[in-house]
Order: sequence, then structure tokens, then C-alpha cells
Amino acid sequence: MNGLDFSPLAPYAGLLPEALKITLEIGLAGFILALAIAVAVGTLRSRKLPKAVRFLLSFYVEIFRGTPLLVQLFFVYYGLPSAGIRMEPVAAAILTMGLNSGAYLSENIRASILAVDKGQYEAAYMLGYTPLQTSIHIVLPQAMRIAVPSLMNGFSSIIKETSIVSVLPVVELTKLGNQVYAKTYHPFEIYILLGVIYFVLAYFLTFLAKWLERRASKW
Amino acid sequence: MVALIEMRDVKKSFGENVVLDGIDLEVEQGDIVAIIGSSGSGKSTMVRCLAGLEDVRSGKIFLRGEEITDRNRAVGSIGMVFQNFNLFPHYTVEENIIKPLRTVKKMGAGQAKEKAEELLGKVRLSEAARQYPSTMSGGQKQRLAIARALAMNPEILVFDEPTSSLDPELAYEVFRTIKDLAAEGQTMLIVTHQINAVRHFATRVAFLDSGKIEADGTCSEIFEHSDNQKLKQFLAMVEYDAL
Amino acid sequence: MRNKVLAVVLGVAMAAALLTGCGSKGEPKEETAGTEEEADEAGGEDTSLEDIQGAGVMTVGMCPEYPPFESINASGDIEGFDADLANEIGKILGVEVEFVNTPYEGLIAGLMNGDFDIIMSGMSPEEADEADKTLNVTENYYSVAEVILSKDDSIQSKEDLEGKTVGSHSGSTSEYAVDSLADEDIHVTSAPYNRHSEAFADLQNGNIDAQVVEETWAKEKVADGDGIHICEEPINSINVAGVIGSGRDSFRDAFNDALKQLKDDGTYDEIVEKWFS
Repeated sequence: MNGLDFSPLAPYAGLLPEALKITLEIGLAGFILALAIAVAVGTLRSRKLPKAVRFLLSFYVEIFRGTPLLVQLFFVYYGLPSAGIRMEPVAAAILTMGLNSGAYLSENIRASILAVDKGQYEAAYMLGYTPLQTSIHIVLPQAMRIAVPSLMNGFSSIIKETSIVSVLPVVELTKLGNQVYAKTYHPFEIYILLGVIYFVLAYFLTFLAKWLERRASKW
Repeated sequence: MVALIEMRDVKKSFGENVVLDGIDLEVEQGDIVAIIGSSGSGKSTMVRCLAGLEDVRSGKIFLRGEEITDRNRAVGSIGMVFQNFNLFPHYTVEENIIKPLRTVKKMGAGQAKEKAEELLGKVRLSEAARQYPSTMSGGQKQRLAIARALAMNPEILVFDEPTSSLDPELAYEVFRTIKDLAAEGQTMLIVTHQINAVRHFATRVAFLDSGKIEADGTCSEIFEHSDNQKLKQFLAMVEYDAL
Repeated sequence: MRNKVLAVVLGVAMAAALLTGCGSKGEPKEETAGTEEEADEAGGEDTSLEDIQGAGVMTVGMCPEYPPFESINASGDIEGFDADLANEIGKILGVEVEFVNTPYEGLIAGLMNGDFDIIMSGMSPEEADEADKTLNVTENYYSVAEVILSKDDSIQSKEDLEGKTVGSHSGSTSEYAVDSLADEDIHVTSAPYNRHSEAFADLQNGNIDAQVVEETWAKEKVADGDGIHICEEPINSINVAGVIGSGRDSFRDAFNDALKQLKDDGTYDEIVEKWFS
């Protein structure tokens, strides 16, 4: 192997911001969607529910945890149009990433909710909180704090997993890398660069999340 | 006049194990009833049934003559202070009082804050208003729990072994607060092991054994003049422990 | 592997269609109509050409990872032989041409979902047939020779590949060429890669004995000093055509007419000259 030479990639540098923007867009929006799904599903699954609802929720979680993200992406983008549901590739990517990570994170949220002391429910009940108020005001804030480390993990995973979206017609970082690679044939340089970018993104975002956590953890 | 609280033949069991074997109890407005008895006698279960934290198997519970056996109806009328405090760790000391007022009573921010200041003054925690509960001693935590329960203006305040997890000097702080409340005429029901403290504020004492109220009377009736053998045995044991 | 992915996609699509009862024409053949309006008109008139001319845009699906057929340039636009040819055909049809940047494995599914009007992405009629026999294929607009690359001087023709490990681009014309060796009683171990460049890297690293690749690609990528030679005798020639949704015959015919016109007036040769010399 000859020495690394990044100069042939330079002309394509201008394409990077747009691809980076799309990666971040999919990663962030996917994570926010995942979080919303995880909180709703995790909260519901931590309670006693009618059998049908329980079955439906565990069906969702098992399906999305039990099948590859790649197959889910294909199904949503290329499969659903046959059922009359079509969407933009970026929307399909965000939806799929959100549903996929939401299934994983809902289990973390559920475990965190179950880890909240039973006395908290009793105290809230005695003060006159409704079950919904207890969830929102008392249990979830404490469960979220317990869940923070696994949520941060989920966040950095989702950023890295966006690279799978390159199988859709979306030019995010990995797809840009593939296309520049096909043009310039500098695999080492391109994939080293890609790796560094993903690492910095995941590391920076995790760092940011840790900082936020420290600020929030006065109690 | 109808009693504030009436428990009539309340029974409760966990599986095979009968915990309450027909409890009959009346509490009048202004009563300060201490519930004593050895561990496993059903004291905690009794007050938890009254509070609605446990379902009863049979029997009835009334609040001012209205049946509240069905658990949800008593909410707000009965305040509860737990052995383990159960403060909300994500709220500051004052928020532990303000937030429930805002959420449950839909009280305005200013009014809730005023009420919190007043109650924190009463339990001598004004200085700690902005701290988080995790920074406080056990005695302070329990006094905050009392203030939080009082904020909802309960008709009766129920204490489930409020000092069992506290060192003696911290337990003293809590009893001092209970005594202050007694002076104000707050109706209270207190499950405790600290027999000696009870003498300072209880208007009545009920002795529980094997899920039944064996004896019920004033402090002097219970502690000095009772003929009940089980009670005498229990008191002898407790006093031996105290030495 | 590419074909397997495609099969999964199609399977999933059909399952979805069956589950929901949409696309209730039942036969997958009829599902391949381009857009939903056309699906509604299935069995009716073929208005594909008018639809495109009415919209004023011809959308072309391509995977820009195959220079010189198509790749991205430094401003992110797609360029290459297919792109130039599409633009010239667009001029004759009187429409704008838009490229839809699509992964290779999503091209057929994208066409069936109506994401674009035609695939021009170095695809051979055989590949289109394998995906769905009812797809419309245009006249061949190029022919690519599949050549053998090797470091090993003892490999000079396809017969020399007997018993060797041979890399190719999975699902593309190069893999077909490798597979076709069996018909001539030449037995090789096939090593399909996601991209030519990956097979090429492995060839350089000595993990495979030879690579089969389109001559155009080989000429662009093999440089002096690589220690890699291109065998003179190609394995075969494979044709390249446009792929259009089934039933859209008027558009296919107009495309073929336009292609003929470009060949007649010399424009076609200019484009070939520009990209393949």
C-alpha cells in the first residue's frame, strides 16, 4: 500500500456539508421520534394492560428488534408503495430509524420505569395524583434519569446506523463516500475519513449528552 | 355525632396468611391515636388499608359516615407519612410541596409558594427550601414529608412508623413536630414502636395483636391500668428493650 | 447477492400488496405499471409518452457509482455516458431530463413504484428480464466487453481461469460473465463483491486470482505500475439498454426512435468518443 493521499478527494469536499446535514437530520429526527415512541411504549408496557394492547405493543417491539434494519428500510421505502403508502426517502429513513430504535429504547425505558421505587407511586397516590399525572410528573422524570446512559448509547448508535440509509436514494455521508469512491478509487482515504467523521459525530454528541446530564443531575 | 373514621370488621390476608382478623376502630375529630404492637401484628397493614394502599378482603371503612372502602374515594382526605419518606427526589424541598399543590389542587403559583413557605416554617425547614431532599438528614426528610402531606389539608394524617429508620435524636425532631400538630388539633393516627414518645401526645392508644385490636384506651389505661395479659407481656418486652 | 436483495424487495412488496388488498389486480405482472394513475388505467390505453411529454420531464433512475456510465462530479451532479445520452434523448422528446440518484439494488423496485420513468444505469436486458419478464426493454444502446484482470502472468484467457477464484460485481453484467464460464465447462470459484472497486482491492491484495470487469472500467482504473494486466480476449460482450415499466410501449418506441436518430446524426458517436476513449 502506498502512502495515504487525500488530495484526489479535495474537489469533492464541497459535497460534504450537504451529506453531513442529511446524516444529522436523519440521526436527530430519528432519535427524537425513537425517544417519543420509547417513552410512550415503555410507559404503556410497564403497566397492566388489556391483552390485545399488550400483544400489539410486544408485537411491535419484537418485530423491529427481530428483523434487520436493512430489511425494514427496504420494506418501508420499496415495499409500502405497493400498499399505497409512499414517502420521501428521507422521511422513510427517519420513520424507519425511529421505529427501529424506538423498539430498542422502549425496553430501556420500561426497565427504568420499573426501577423507580414503588414508594413514589404510593406517595403520589396519597397526594391525589391520577395515574397519568403520576407517570408524567413523578415516575418518568426519575426513569429518564436512570435511562440516560442507555439513551446516550442509543443516540450514538442511531448516528452510526444512518449509514445503512445509503441503500435508499439519499446521499448521506456513506452514500457520498461510495460515490466518490467509485469515481476516485481511493478506498482507504475515503473510508478513513468517513470513519473519523462518524466517530467525531458520535463522540461529540455523546459528550454533549453527558454535559447535559451533568447539568440536569442536581438531585 | 358520626366518627371521622370508622373501620368495621376489616379483614385482610396475604395468601394463606391472615394479617387483619376483624379490625374495629373509630377515630373522632381531634383524636391522636397511637397504634402499638409487636412486629407482624398487622399495624402497618391496618393503616395502609385505611389509606387505600391495600385492598381489604372484607369489612367496611367510613370517612364521616361515607363508605370509602373502595380505595379511590379517600384520596386527599387522608394524608400519609411513610417510614421511608418517599419524597420526590427530582423536586427541591419547596417543590415537593408546591408541585403537588399545582398539579393536584391546580393552585396558582404564588399561592402554592406562599403555602409552601408557611408549612416549611412550621416544620422548621425554611432554610433548606432550595435544596434537594438528597442533601438532608433523615429527620429533615421526615419533617418535609409531614409538611407535604399537610399541604393537601387532610382530615386525618396517618403515620406509618415515621421514625423507625431514624437515629434517636432525629426521631426526637419528628416527634416534636407531631407534638406541635397535636397542639393545633390535627387528627392523627400513628403507628410506632417508640412507646415512650407516645405518652407525650397520644389521646388514645390501640394495641394490636395477631390482626386484632386487643386493647384500646387512654395512655394511662393502656400503659398503667390494663389487665390484658398480651399487652402486659408486650409492654414488659418493650421496656426491657428500652433499658 | 444483489439479485437476492432485489428478490427480498419484490417479495416484501408483493406481500404488502396482498396483505392490504391494494394492487388487487393480483398478478404481479400488472403491478409493475409506473404510477398510481396508470395502475388505475391498467388494461386501458397506453398514455406513457403523453404523460411524460405532458409533464415535460423524463426522470431517469441511475446509480452513479459506475464511471464512465455514470458517476458524480465535484459539484454532486451526475455525469457520464448514460447521462449525456439521456439528455440528448430528452431533447428529441422535448422534455427536461432529471436524474434520480438511486442505489443499484433499488433501481427495479424504484421503477415499479414509479419513482422514475426509465432506468439507464448500465443495466443489461438479461438483468431486467430476471427481475421481471414483463418489463419493457429499449434497443441496446451500448455493448460492453467483460475482460479479465489478473496479476498472474499465467492467466491470459478465460480457459486459464480453470480452478481459480474470480471476483466480480455481484448482480451486474460481470457476474453474469463469470457465471457463463460454467456453460463452457470452465470451473471457477466465483467471488461476488458489492462493487468493482472492492474486487479490485482484493485482487491487488492477492486474495483472488482474477477479476472480471467491464472493459471501460478496466481501462479507466488499471494504471501502470499496478502489476495488473488486462487479458486481450474478453469473456463476452454484454449489452446495455434502458428499462421501462411494463405496458409503457409508446414511451419505449419513442425512446428507440430517438436513439436511432442520434445514431444517424452522429451525436451518439460523439458521446461514445467522449466517455469511452
